[in-house]
Amino acid sequence: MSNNTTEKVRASLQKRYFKEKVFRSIGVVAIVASLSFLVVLLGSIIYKGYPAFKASYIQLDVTLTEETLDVSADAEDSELRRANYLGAIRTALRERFPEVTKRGDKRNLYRLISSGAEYALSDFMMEDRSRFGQTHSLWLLADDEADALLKRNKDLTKPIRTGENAKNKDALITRLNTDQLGWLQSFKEAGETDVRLASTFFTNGDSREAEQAGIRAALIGSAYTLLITFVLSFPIAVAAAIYLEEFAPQNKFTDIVEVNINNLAAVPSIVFGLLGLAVFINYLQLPRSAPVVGGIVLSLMTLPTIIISSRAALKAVPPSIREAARGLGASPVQVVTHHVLPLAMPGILTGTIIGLAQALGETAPLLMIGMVAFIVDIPNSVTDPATVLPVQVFLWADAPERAFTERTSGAILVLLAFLVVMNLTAVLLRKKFERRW
Amino acid sequence: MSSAAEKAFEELKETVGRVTVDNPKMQAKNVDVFYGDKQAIFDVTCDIGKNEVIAMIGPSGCGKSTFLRCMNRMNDTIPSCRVGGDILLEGDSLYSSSVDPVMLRARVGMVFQKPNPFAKSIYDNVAYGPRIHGLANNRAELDDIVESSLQRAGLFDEVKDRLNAPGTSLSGGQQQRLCIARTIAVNPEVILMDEPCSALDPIATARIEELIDELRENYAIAIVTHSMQQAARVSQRTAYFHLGKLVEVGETKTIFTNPTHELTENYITGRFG
Amino acid sequence: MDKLHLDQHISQQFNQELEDIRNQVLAMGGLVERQVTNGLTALVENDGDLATQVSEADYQVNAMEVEIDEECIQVLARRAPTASDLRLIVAVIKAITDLERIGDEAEKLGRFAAELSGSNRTLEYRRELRHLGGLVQSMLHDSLDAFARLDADMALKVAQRDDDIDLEYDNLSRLLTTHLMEDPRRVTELLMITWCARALERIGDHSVNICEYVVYLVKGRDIRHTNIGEAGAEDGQTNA
Repeated sequence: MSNNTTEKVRASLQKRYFKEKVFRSIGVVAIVASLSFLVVLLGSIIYKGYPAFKASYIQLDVTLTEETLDVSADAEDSELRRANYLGAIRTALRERFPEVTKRGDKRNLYRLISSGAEYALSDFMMEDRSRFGQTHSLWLLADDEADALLKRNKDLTKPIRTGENAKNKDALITRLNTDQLGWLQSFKEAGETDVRLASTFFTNGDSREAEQAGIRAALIGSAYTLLITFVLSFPIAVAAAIYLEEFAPQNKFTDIVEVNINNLAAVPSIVFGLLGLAVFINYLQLPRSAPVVGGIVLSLMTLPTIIISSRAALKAVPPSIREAARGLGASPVQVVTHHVLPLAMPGILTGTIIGLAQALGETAPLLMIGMVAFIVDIPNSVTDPATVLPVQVFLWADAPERAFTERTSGAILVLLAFLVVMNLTAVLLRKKFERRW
Repeated sequence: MSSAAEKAFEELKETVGRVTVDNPKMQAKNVDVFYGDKQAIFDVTCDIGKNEVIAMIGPSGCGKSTFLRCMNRMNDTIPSCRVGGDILLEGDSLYSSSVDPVMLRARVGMVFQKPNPFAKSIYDNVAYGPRIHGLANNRAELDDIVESSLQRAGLFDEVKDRLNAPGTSLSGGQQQRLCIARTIAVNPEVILMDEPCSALDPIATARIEELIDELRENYAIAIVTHSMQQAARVSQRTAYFHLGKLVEVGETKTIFTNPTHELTENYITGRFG
Repeated sequence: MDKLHLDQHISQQFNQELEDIRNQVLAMGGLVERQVTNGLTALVENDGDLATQVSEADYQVNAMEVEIDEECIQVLARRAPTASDLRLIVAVIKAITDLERIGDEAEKLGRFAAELSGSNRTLEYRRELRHLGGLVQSMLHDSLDAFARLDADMALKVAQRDDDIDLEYDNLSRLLTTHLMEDPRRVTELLMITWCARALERIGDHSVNICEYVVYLVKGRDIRHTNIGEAGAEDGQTNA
């Protein structure tokens, strides 16, 4: 009898183990597949995006004199600031390449240096007025096309991929012409080019010129927007969750509220944008493109997320704790504030951070309320026009210049870094404050 | 259930044995409890005497815990729960509109089945009740209350060096004694215990039982238990519940040697019933 | 409650244990009853062989007592019996003590019978024991019957019969005393016969005890050291 059982079990064992193996390998394949998708995605973004954190500079001997700047040595500060620095740079370029005489060629030559270089020069001048009347050897930001070639350390002597050698894989893809490449090569040979960490990417606002465009305005905009979102959604959501979980009577009304909250979490975010446009901007006349409106709209979107996760956290507090407190004569509010809330807090915070991370990555509703604007200036308050990181990504992704591609990826990297940091904080918070009971 | 016992249950008109005591602390009078339209307790009348431990026994779902929880209105939070009849504490009705449940629970404390210390320090666990009720005027008084409560719960010597350690760091038996200390820190008149030892090992159980016997000097105690032996050990009177009815009440020594009702006999001797 | 429902526990094992104990007590009762009968027969019929057999068989009774005791202790330790189960175990522990004593008395009868069997001289005196012995035998038998049937009413009635035994013992004592005075040469034999009468009277007392345990077992009331007649009357009232 028992022998019979043993044999039967043994006969079925192989089949069972085989099934287990199959099941396991399916799991492993699934994980490998999703991981490889992630690696490909991240890899391509990082590969495309990392040059955005670098910038190319070209060294020029710029003479800052009355002649080149078109301003006298004793001019007022404001006058000096507005002096013809562009002219000084162009003079320097002409002096560097005296053989360039034709008007068209000159214009091409000027294009090697970023149009923002004149502002850098102006700042350099204003730092110390005694620099007036002297010649300085200065590193000036290269224009985006030149920048792209220099950063990637391309061989500038190769042909350009146009017309006849369109099939040539070695050829350079660039909008520069052969002359410009020659001049650039000359700078390079003279050791007058350099690739440095691009501080401008983090310090500048948006710009039409790719090499000058930065994410600072978008970062600050995102920060203001998230601040508003947090300030609005956290207290409201927690209060709502506590009421629904601890105090609300079980009736039709609370059922309806509950269903609606769950539905709200599933509403497409653009609908919130439309709502924001209609109510906050058109009806309440709040400023357009401002973080305050963005924050309100995003908090509408985050509320259900936080409410649902807070309710889950409150529900996870064992009823025995509530009973114990009630049994000692704590009033319902004391039960919540003294015992339930502290125990649920890690869960609530985790939900909040995840909700905020979601808000940080949100684009659609902000497009509707005008946060898609071209913002050069760093916003100083929540009512200043601003944009946010994902919208900046959206804007740059649309821009025709090739150099914006790397900016786009760079901005995505920054956005991802913030999201990772926020989610990590959520995990750590939960780990740290999670209490056993 | 054997047909004879079934018949005996159906014929049960009123509780067998003496339900009243000469010196009552609490008196339940014709208590009915409904959950929605389902009746959980049928016409239960029973006294709890001063300085006595009354044990409530019976099979699962017989209503003994429900009855216990009616005595400090812990069932209030269940919206569908309705209590009929009356329960008196020192002659005053618990369910009259002038009685505040918060106030009541300071007079009738409760210890639960699972040790459930707050996620706070040992000190704060015990000090919590006195704090919310404002029983101590200053820190020194509070210290005294905490110390004497822990003393009376027989826990002080074990924890005096780590009053700031979390209450959850104690062993199960210590946690339950902490919960008892927490309850007596409010200085209640009655202590209700809902299967206080069901999660504890025999040694911890023995300590709690010893403690219950000591506490009898100052409090009236009602204890629900699934362990007949425990009921026999700690109580002076025993009440047997069956399907929401109070079948028999009597002196523990009588119930465990010569119960009157067949259902009681079947239950305590482990017969089909 | 007239029956103890010993077979209705949820634990079949427990049922079995209680049933075993009860059966062993009844077996022990049977053995003791036989010993008493044989002892009496040996005495009255002057049967020396039977007398020796009786006095040598006492170890069986003792062994049974020890065995039943052990089983009761096991049940107490492992089952923690309550209510009727508890009363059954307590009644058994006490009853077997009395049975063992009865066994001792029977062994005494056997021993004296063996000593007296040497001559026929005292046979006529020994025959005086026949009536008392009959009363004691039937009382022991009935008390064991009451135990077997858990019949408290019967037990109460049986217990009251002890009065007749006491009366008969008194008469017999007086008679034997008269014989003693008349025939001082037979003091030793007559004393032995008196002791036998005494042993029979003790067996009656032990039987009363067994009856009292039956009442305790069935009704949960302790009627020891009370007037048994009153106890029965009181019981009759509560039943009515």
